[in-house]
Amino acid sequence: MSLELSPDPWLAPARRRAAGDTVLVWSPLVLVLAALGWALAGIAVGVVLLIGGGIALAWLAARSAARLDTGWLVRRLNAREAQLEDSAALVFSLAQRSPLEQLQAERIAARVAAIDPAALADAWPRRRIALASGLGIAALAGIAVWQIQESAPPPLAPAADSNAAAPGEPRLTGQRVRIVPPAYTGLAPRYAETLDIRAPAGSRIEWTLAFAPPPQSAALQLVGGQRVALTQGADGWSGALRLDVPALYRVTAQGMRAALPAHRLEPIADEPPQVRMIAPASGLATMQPGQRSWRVVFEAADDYAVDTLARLTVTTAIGEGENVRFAERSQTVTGTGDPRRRRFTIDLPLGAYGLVPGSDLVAQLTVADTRSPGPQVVRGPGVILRFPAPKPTEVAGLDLMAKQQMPAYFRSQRQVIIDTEALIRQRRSLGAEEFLARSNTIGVDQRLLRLRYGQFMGMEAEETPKPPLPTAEKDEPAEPEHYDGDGHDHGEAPESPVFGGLGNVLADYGHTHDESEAATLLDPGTRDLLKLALDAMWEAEVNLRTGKPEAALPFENKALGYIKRIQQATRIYLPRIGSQQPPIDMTRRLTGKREGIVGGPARLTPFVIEDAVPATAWRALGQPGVIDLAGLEGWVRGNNARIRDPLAVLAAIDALRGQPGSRALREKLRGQLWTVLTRPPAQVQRRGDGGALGRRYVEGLR
Amino acid sequence: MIAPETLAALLIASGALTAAVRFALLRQGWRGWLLAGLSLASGLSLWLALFPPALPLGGETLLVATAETPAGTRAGPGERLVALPEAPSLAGAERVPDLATALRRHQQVQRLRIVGRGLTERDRDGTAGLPATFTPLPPPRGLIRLDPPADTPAGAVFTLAGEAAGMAGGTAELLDPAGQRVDSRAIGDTGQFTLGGTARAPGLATFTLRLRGRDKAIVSDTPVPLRTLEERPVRALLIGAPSPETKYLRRWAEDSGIELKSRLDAGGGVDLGGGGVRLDTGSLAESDIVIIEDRALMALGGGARATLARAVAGGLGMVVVMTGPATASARDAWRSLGFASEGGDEIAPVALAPLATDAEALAAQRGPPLPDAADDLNTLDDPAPELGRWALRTGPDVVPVVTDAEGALIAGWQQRGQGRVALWTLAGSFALVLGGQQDRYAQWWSAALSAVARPDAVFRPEVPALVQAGERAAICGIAPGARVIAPDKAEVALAIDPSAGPRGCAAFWPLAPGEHRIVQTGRDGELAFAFLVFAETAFTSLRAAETGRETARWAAQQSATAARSLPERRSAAWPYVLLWLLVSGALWFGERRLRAPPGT
Repeated sequence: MSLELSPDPWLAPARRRAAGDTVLVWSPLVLVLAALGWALAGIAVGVVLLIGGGIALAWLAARSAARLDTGWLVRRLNAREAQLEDSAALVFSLAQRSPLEQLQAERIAARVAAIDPAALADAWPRRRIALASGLGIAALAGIAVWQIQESAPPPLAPAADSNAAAPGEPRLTGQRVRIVPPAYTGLAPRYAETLDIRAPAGSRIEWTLAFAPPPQSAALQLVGGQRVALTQGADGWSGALRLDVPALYRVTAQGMRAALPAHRLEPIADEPPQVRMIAPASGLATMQPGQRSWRVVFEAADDYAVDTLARLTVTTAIGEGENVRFAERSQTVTGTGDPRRRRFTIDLPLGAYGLVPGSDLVAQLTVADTRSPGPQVVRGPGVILRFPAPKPTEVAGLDLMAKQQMPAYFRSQRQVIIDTEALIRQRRSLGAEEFLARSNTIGVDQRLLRLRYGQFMGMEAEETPKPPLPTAEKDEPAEPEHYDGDGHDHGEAPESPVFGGLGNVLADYGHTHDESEAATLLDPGTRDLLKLALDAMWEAEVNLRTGKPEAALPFENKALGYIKRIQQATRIYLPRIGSQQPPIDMTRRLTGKREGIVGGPARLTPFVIEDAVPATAWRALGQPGVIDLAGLEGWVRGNNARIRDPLAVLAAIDALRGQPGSRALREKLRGQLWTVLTRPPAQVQRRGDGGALGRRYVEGLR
Repeated sequence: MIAPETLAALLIASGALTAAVRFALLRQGWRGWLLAGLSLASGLSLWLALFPPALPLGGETLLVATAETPAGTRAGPGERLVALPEAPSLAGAERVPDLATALRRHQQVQRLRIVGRGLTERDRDGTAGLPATFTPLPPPRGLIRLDPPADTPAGAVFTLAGEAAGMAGGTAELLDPAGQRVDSRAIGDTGQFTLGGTARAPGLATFTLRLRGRDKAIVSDTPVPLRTLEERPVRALLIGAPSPETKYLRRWAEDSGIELKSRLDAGGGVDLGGGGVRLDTGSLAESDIVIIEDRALMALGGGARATLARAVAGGLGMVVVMTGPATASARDAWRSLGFASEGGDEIAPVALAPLATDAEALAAQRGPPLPDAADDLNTLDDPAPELGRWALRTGPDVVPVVTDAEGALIAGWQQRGQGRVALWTLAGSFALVLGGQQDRYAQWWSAALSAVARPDAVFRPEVPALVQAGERAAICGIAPGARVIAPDKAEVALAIDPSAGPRGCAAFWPLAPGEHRIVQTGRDGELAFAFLVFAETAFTSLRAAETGRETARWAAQQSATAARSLPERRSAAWPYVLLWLLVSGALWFGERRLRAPPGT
């Protein structure tokens, strides 16, 4: 028979006790750490610390329980119970026993069975537990007190504008303004320094004010608006308001005779987010052979936060010539990084769009900020991926049928200037050869641009950029080098009548001395300007090609100026809506008969500036007398979008209302009204006749 | 030639010396010496009796201390120091209320010497009748001259000029009544500058001229008054063809309150202007201005042009708008109306000055935008429109009223009788409106029409440009019964000075700063004209510089008129004759005693 006893029943209470010991001794430390984490870094850190500490504690408890093994049991039994005759090991030993040992083991086993396993466990280490929990409670209490003090509002600041009040009249003695920005801004509440408040729109403003002696009631009076009653609390009179529109307010209390000066309530509007393209660097990318996916990176910036989710709109234009099909699909993408500056990285699988040579794919990102309610949605710039069409088949004799594949994307003159300036800045870090090469590259850009504008002048076709002749020796033309760089200045190169034209092949490859039709489209003045621009471009090109970008820069700038003037000269002014022409009387048309024509007078609608109210007030303020302040204030409120600083005008009105007799305040309001008055179109002044004397003089002149 | 004084002196001296030597040799001892001395004294007194010296006996110089007189100033020999009320306290100075009092008290003075900043207007008023010397102090640092803007029509541009001393490298800024900067100029070595701004609604406004030093610190703030007059609407006729030019002209006329009737002949008897415009004597007499395109003028025919010419001589204003090159016949037609010119068949570019110094100043000049105006429309960076003008050559009779940035004529007028004829040489001025410069378009047309409009009996008294409280102001151009209403509603009747001639001038002493109104009862009821009075300290440096300039001129005037009338004066001879008689008597007595024998 097997006499060995399983040690577990005897070990279990001791193990439980040991684990309990560990937990009880160390758990205060975990709690204190978690509380510290919560206090210093927020509730998330606190919870993480608590969970981590709990796990560590469990592991520690398990370890200390595991330390109690059979050996410990034997030692403990032998040490505790003399009746076991130091033979407890025999009972729990698994080894083969000798007969004598067997006998002894049986004897001892009976005695062991009589021992209560719970008595074997260590006693509770009361002192250690008491010490640990005492220290822990003390630390937790300390943290709690610290936190409470931290979150308690600061004491009231002494009021800046305590007016000299008569005895017994309430006087503003203390002030505290707490600004709680809307939750979506992520801004922490703060206390304002003064009663003039400038805070994000939608903030909650909480005032706490103290008066001495205490009044019966107190309120915040919005000038020309609502009244916020203050309620008396433990540390003063308090009230709150949501800040949405700019306004002026003043503190009033029952029994206060003179009005306190008005203070400003100015909301800071939330700006819509802005989207910027990071990759690809230019607005137009060319699809590489075998490209499977396309990475587009946008960056969206906002003053508070950009929503993580944005909408990517992908438009495909598949097909060639007139047979182009458009398809639009959109997907939701997730941004990463700082909420104020989120980055949206999108890998577009190109296979799914079914692109064929010659098609375009346009990706555009629509982002929103986190404003609530009503997030502001902004559509970002589009970026184009182009699947280049295959080169024309190289068939001898069909050269003239070669087609220019890529519409010419020229660098703009402004881009040339930017490049040149960048090159000049980098001069020191570049080798002489590379410098010359880059300068030459910019010179090529400048040349292309010059030729582009030269087309309008009917410049010789020899100079027009020829598309690469499709010969076998010729490599792929370095076209992408000359694409418009950054997607912001596409409007520079005007559309030419021969823009990418297929039909004008003869002009492209031939040699014509005559000017094209385009040249007659411009009036002589514009032609002269254009010529000046071309001359300046030519000078710039020469200098760039010879590696002297500094010398080229003035000419580039001059050319840009001329081009701007040309654009101005050819600006067309159109009404915003289409004009409605009377129907043509076909029976009269081209007959030359003019009978019965009735000329209706061309009527003009008078141009009305609604500033009669401030103009009247402005004139009246020059003289002593009563002013219609309410009407003026209503006008300012109604027109506050046009006025640069409506609050300043309102403050001046309000100050004058408080002291209608004050000359200085009248002058101040009059001065403020000057910014409100619309400037009328210059009027005509009658000239005086100089009286009888002057008339006689003029008559005597003859 | 020996002067008689010298000859007499030699003769008398030799005689006296001989007598003295003789006395000294005649008797040794104190008596001899005494007689010798007496004979010398007798010779001297004889000479003095013959030629009495020009001693300052009653011919003093009056030393007049004015403001900022140096503290150590004292009367020199033959000078008497008086201090005017502005002068600081000086030791030994006699306080006088004004210069006339000082001259009355000291009638013996023969000369004036003025020290300090100079005489105020009160003392410069009369002539002293004495030669005066005055060395002006160096001008104070700050504004020393200010030409405030003239009366400005509503919405028009105004300019002001000034001069600052010791401010080279600083800036002059014009601030509008709200304190926004409207214009600013760097001050050069000459110290002169010109600033501009825009007027708004009719009324009186106070701008501020701020001078800043080289370190941008504010040196002075000087108020600048701007008067914008409320006008009776001008009645105008527009004769032309339907074109952008007439379209935008009508637009501006409508907006600026001109009562415009137009005749826009579209051919075939179709008038797009509303009809009812006839160029006869009656309708012309009821109009103030006729604006006519050159082609329409040529199409009128001789009779109608003669009617127009008569109407112009009667006071009508006329503006001929050039739409094409001037031909010889067109120039003849203009000449018959009263405008003489040559050329005008070539087009020349118009140079446009920038609208403002910077975008902020432009915004302040333009005022609040219209409700539907875009922010980025018509900015300062927008290129100026390309304009051309017909290069017309005119004589000295033509007064330019609108010129471009280089001074080339855009519009000019010539007087004919009571009226004026102007020629508008800018081809396609509407391009200014299209190019975003409607401010300039309106300004130019306003200037041209204001120059030629029919003269009118308007109530515009002449008031000094800068009026200060406590200083006399001469108000001219008023009729009897006019009065001034002060800001506190106190009324002061103006007494017209009959000696000031037919201009109708009266003096007025404003007491307090503020807006004053001159009120006069005219034929059509009560007429009012407002002017601003500034505080006494408003123009300190300006007044100081002006006082120095004016006093120097006054002193030069006094010296020029008084120098001839001053006689050569010697002191009276009788005291010296008496002295000589006494000395000679004593000498005679002594000599008798001397020559008498000692015993007798």
